[in-house]
Amino acid sequence: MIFLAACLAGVGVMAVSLGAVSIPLSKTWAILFHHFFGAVSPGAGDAKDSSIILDLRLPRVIAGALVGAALSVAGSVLQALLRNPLADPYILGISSGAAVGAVLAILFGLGATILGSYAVPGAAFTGALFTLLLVYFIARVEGRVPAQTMLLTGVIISAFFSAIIMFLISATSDERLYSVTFWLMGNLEYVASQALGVIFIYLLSGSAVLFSLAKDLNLISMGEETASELGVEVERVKKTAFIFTALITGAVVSVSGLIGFVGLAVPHLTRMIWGPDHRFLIPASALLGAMVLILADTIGRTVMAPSEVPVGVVTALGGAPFFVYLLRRKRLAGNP
Amino acid sequence: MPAILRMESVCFQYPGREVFHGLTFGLEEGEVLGLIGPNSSGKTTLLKLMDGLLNPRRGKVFLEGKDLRKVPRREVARKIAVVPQEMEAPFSFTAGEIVLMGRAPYMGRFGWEKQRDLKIAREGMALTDIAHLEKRPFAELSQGEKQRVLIARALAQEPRVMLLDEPTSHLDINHQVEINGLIRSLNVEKNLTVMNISHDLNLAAEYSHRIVLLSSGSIYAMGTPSMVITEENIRRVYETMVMVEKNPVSGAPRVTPLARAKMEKAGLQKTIHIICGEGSGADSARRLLLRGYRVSLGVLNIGDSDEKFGKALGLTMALEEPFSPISERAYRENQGLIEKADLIIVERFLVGHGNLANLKAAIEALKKGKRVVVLENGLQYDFTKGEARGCYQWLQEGGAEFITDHSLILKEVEKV
Repeated sequence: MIFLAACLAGVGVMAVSLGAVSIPLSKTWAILFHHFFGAVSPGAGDAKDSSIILDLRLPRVIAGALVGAALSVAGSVLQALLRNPLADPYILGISSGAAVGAVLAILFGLGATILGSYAVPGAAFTGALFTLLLVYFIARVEGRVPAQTMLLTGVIISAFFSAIIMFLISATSDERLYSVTFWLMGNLEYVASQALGVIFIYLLSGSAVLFSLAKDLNLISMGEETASELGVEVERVKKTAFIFTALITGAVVSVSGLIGFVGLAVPHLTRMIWGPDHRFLIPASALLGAMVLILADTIGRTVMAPSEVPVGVVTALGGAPFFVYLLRRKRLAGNP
Repeated sequence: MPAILRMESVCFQYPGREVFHGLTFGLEEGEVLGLIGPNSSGKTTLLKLMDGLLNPRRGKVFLEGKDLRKVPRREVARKIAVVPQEMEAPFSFTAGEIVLMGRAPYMGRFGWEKQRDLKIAREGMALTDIAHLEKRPFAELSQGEKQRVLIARALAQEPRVMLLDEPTSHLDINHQVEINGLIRSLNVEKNLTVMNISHDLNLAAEYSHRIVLLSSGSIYAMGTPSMVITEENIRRVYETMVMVEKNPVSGAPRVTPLARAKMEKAGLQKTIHIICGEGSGADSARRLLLRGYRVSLGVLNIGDSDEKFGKALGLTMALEEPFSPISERAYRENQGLIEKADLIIVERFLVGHGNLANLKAAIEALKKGKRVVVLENGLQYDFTKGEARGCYQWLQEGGAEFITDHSLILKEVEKV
């Protein structure tokens, strides 16, 4: 775990130094060191570089980390709850549901009220929770959630909510929604650094609760009856887990838009390397997810610099083939 | 001895299918109870009710005198361990990790298994002969190995009661004997109470103190193995002819099915006509067809489940339009079939004015000297204000053979 955290820090610093204007790694270190620890370092005086790093790139890298971590934690929890390795907030349409909530909140100007920056994540959370429950109840057959019905339901719900969003965009001339189309592709460009604190609080508290359920999730992934036989109050754990998964998903979708496949792929990678125990899987997925999304965003920023490829496009380009690989694997074919 | 786990007038139903209607039954502390019964007699449902995985619609289950629904699951899991028929693990947990999950009810919300937990889990694995599988992914094990992992997990729970759902169905004879011996020794040494669902009557007889024979949701017989496992009980509940003798080594009853032994002699080119309806004839027809007899049915309304059955198998049938009373034409057709048959069977079906003619045809056959076999208690509802009852009386007085259940059909047929 410490190793993973160290890797994350390294990836973070690297990502900060890369971009349209490349700043040498050593200088990046110096500026960051100066900023956080106040030590006087040579070269830290360069105001332009310092501004690029601290005001532009650092918030964005942090946003990437938060979003990646949240989606990966949500993915690993959903996979356990549904006993289905193909579950993730994007495929299940939860992200779309959160987006509808967020767009509505923006349209009704909630972002400008006293609730301020809490309102949009709150609305996104409501949308996410609503969608999660909708998908769960539609897809459930005799107490189980089979892969096929779940995926189909997710696709349908996603399409439906996307249509609602498109309708809202086309029906209003609201300028604030001008950027929504771009945002829907999954984008970290417009994340306001003031929002990061709020998102962080949502993520930390949500993940802490989900982590506290880790042992129960291990048992639930063996089947709800098995879990109940081994002392888990299944319904209570499921409810709590659904609510907090929706919370962290809603929080990050409200700032990043729809970013797919991170929540699917990262828990898988983590499981492949460190095994399926959720007491390890949840924190490790969070760290690995943060790293993966920072990398994806850095690629998006640099390949066509100075113009940008939205991070959602990068993750979909890399993630969709991975999804196909999972779907084709023989062992999954017969699984519920 | 006090009942450690007790069900009181429990009613339970799945959507559209009632399973238990007022079942009362107790598992006594320190006993090994064998639960037997045919498919869909409610054995697994009973087990799930006893562990609180299912909740009774009416009635209650008590664990050591406490209402099971009010006991926290954690506490239940420390007292009752369940060994399911099988379990699928979608993620790649190892056999060792699965066994350790048996310690879950003893662990806090956070943290990892302690030395003591590991020791108990390893002990369970050693006893079930799976120590060498500890690091192997559960999903890759054979059925028999998986079963032993699940038993080891149940042992790790350190329960007072163990409920097993056919725990040895996938095991080879060596491990079957070992696991049954293990359960028996835990029972003796640690006073573990055991309930064991089994399809293997001989194993159940061998290892149980007490046997419960379940038949479509109610207790047909309960008592020592030699009291319950008798030729008569098994024949009635399983509708199969068996021979029961004493195992010369252990003294427990030993069951040998008889039907199969005579298989080759059948196929005697005889024709049996079955008077039936609403699916009542399918059971006899199937038994007879499998033995090589020719079977005809009638009179059936088109769309009746027996008609569908006959059509699917290409049987000769006397037919009538859907929901119509039996016409003169159909009646004669039926008589034609009866004429050709060596034996007539009258099944248990509902009789109204529309199909009363079917019973009359049976009487007619009897008068002509045909052998007629009638399933006893066929007339549960008489929609003809006594006319049907009269027909039954006629059949009885006229010398028709009355039998109690389908297992006796083949015997009757062989007499012809």
